[in-house]
Amino acid sequence: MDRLVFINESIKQKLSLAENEALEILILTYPLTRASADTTNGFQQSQTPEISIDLDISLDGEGSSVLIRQASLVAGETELSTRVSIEHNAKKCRSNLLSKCVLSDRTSKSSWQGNVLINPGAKDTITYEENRNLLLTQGAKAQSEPNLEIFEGDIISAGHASATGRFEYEQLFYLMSRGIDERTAKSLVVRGFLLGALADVSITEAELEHFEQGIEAVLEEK
Amino acid sequence: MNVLEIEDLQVGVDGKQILNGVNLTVNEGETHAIMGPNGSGKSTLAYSIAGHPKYDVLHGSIKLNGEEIQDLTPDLRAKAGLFLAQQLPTEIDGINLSNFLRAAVNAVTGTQINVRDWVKLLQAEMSNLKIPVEFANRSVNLGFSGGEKKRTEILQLKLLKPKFAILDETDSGLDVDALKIVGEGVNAAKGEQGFGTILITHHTHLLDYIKPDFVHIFANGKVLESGGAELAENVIKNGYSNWL
Ligand SMILES: Nc1ncnc2c1ncn2[C@@H]1O[C@H](COP(=O)(O)OP(=O)(O)OP(=O)(O)O)[C@@H](O)[C@H]1O
Ligand SMILES: [Mg+2]
Repeated sequence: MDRLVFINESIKQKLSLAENEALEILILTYPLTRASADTTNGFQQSQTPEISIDLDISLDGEGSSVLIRQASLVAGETELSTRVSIEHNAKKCRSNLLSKCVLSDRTSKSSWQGNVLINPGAKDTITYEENRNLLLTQGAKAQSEPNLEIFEGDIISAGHASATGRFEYEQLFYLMSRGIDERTAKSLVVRGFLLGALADVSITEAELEHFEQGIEAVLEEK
Repeated sequence: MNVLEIEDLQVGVDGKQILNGVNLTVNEGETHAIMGPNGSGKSTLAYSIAGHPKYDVLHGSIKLNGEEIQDLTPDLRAKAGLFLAQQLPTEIDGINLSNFLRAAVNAVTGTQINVRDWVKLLQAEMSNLKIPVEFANRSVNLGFSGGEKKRTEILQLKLLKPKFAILDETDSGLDVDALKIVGEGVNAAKGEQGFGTILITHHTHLLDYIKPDFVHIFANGKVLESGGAELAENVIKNGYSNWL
């Protein structure tokens, strides 16, 4: 299985998958503190005010498949825009896209668009796309648009879901009323939410650790 | 002996006074049932004891073993030994039940339970309360049915072993079997831990399982009359008209 990893960078790519080709794509976006950026090579400095993720994937060969996992922590005045398009052009192709985003500040923004297109002839397709956002403060904005267009009658399943929730005081109180202090409560919720998107994708320990540092850094500033 | 003492407690919410001088003393091992009409301030009392900042204590005191706890944040009150089973338990996306409860148990006991022991302990307690094991990996309360949420509150009670437990209408929304499971669960926890209980309820069903030592009639933000189990029967038969 091929694997593509994009960490803290804007991307614009078009990919075509051939017969039986399987691809995994991991997209992580999170702010780095100066300290973590200095000590780690190979990761670009974030968080620039605008990050754009633009991916076009064509499943052109029979039996090809793509699994995409995106976890983003958008802080400060950053605006993350994501557009992922997946075209099913052949039989027995699979696509699965899960994207989770936490917005930590009043000024943080995310817009997300997932376009799944099942063209005539793409029989026995299985596809699923989901986008979930968690707002930590009032004012943060998340737009979510999962689109699904189906032009083939003989498919197995096609699902899409989207939800935006807020971490509210009642939730913090509930955790605290069980003995958990405020800082730990926030960290548990944000980490649990984002790492939930990474459960079934390959990720190295270094990538994961660095991501978790980014999360802690944002919460530290709060 | 542990004792929770509430003295002349007056509490306001958003500028409106809800509690008008509550007096209540609960000793270790005792069960106090509180019954009162809708909107009389029972949940307000529960939240005030647990330390929800929305509720302003205007007057009076809440003492745990002689120490005033009003200045403690909710997490410190939990560590001091208080537990509130909420009337409407909050849903939290992002954190699964197992990780949440492990963090809570670690915080309250001040130890770090290892993952293996934890999984065993959690599974044993979940099975006692007939909560399916896969709930451990679901987000806390998210999408749980009303009854499932209530059982999960009792699971927490058993794991956190408080000195005093406030159960705010833990019996409402439970089916007959669940009522029995919850009643027996609370009794088992009481047997092991001997905590004092404040049990807020509208029915006597749960009181069939958990025998109250005292029943308090609560209306207009205060305790109007206290007595034994017969007081509960009286309420069920005649309603609150005698007190209003
Ligand atoms: N933010 C608020 N502003 C004004 N009044 C409030 C506010 N929050 C609660 N109240 C009022 O406080 C009163 C007491 O509410 P509480 O939830 O304590 O009642 P309760 O006795 O638990 O009722 P129930 O049996 O229905 O659970 C109610 O009249 C309620 O409307
Ligand atoms: Mg109530």
